[in-house]
Amino acid sequence: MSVLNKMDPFSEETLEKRYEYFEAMRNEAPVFEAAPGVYFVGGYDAVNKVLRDTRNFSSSNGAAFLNFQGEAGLAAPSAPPPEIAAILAESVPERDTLLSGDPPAHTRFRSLVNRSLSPKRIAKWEPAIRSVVDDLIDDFIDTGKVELVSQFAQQVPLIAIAMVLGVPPEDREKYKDWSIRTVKTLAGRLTREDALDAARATRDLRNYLEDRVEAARLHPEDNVIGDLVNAHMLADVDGDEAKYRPLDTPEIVSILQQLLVAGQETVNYLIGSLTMRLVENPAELERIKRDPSLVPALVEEGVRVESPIQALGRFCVNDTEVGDVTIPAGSRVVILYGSANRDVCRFAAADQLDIDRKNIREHVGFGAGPHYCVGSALARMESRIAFEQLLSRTKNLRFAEGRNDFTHKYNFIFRALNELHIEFDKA
Amino acid sequence: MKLEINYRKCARSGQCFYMYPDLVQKGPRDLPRPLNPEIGSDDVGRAEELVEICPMEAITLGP
Repeated sequence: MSVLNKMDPFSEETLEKRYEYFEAMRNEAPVFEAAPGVYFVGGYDAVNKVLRDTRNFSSSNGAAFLNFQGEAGLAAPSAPPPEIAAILAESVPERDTLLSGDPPAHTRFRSLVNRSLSPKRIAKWEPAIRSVVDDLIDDFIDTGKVELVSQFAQQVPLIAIAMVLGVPPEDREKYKDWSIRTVKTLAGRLTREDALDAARATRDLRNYLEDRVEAARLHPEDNVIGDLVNAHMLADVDGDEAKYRPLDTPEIVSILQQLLVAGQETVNYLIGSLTMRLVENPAELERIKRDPSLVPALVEEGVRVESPIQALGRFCVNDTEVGDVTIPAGSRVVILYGSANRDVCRFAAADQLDIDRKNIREHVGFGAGPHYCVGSALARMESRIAFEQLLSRTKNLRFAEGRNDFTHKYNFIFRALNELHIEFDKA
Repeated sequence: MKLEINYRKCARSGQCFYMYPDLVQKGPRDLPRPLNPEIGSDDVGRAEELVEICPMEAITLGP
């Protein structure tokens, strides 16, 4: 553990150069105890195994492993401190639905949301999303330059997820702000002030969503909120008879909160990072521009090599062997998707963007198993449309000279460029 | 009705065999395999759901 013990995985320096850290880790141990009772899992096979094993690796009190830990980077999460609990108590109570759920309850919620976000259901939004993307491009196309992160990458998923869920897009500045503040809890180290601010943002977001749910109960529409207020899920099996019940408001708010935040803070980062990679590879860029049918492969490879979600957690319920290591019951497990996706044991020349890769769909950028990203079809569609339009309407995409430092946000969970200044000619 | 899986599209999410274990099971390399490709009339509704929720549209139900 020589190299690893010298590196603090939560420092800004390590996180900026995280792929070097991951590589060092995989070379020494695909599974290792990073702190007492906390296991990092970074090898592809080990990650894939943990993700698919919900019996031994629980998401309940495990998925959001960095919450409320104050300054101690790896301390085990506990119930929120009283001052934070008091803020959260001013909104509907928290429920385990998707991210923090385990089968069989998770399966029931998941089954409902799967159908709301299926490829067939979301296809109807494609023209509207394409029009949003074109409007965004219209705003900068004549200037020949763009700060891509704030003017494009952030905006596309923000507007798209609002339409699909059924949240008014004109409120987007509000929920963008709430979303950014809530995900600070995933950074790695959190000041007390950040933790309080995140709790206030969570409270305000939940209250806002509660109002949307109550409105939808009166006038349900053809969107995710409408689906959820009309949905019935299995409550109980009494003999041979299955009993169904509607979802209550805290459950729907929980689902919407996750979809709204995860829907923004992912595609956003993918569009930024993948544009950077494309500009670095002008030959590939030209090839995809000439043949837009390659865009889905570009997006797929982008999710692998520039995974927006780098890590999530689990709680180990039983002693379980992963690789050569036995992870003891009671341990916290940190799943490093960003590391697994660059494991050379699985992906040749893993750091390279290669859209012709034979095993291009074997990445775990969307996870694997029961918790596989519920919005993956939407994420793929939004990203495809964004690159189809961006590449067809511009040419000679290039970095604005001297304006990019290519640094990333300080965040353990997400990989996100701070800025990306691009220049181009109008196609 | 016959359940078919297009392995060229499959991304091994596993949603099919985790959500519908009575219709699809996990095969080698985390790839799904229909338990019985012939879907009886009682199961057609669930099989249609299964087809719909595949994130890669890799599953079809045909005659």
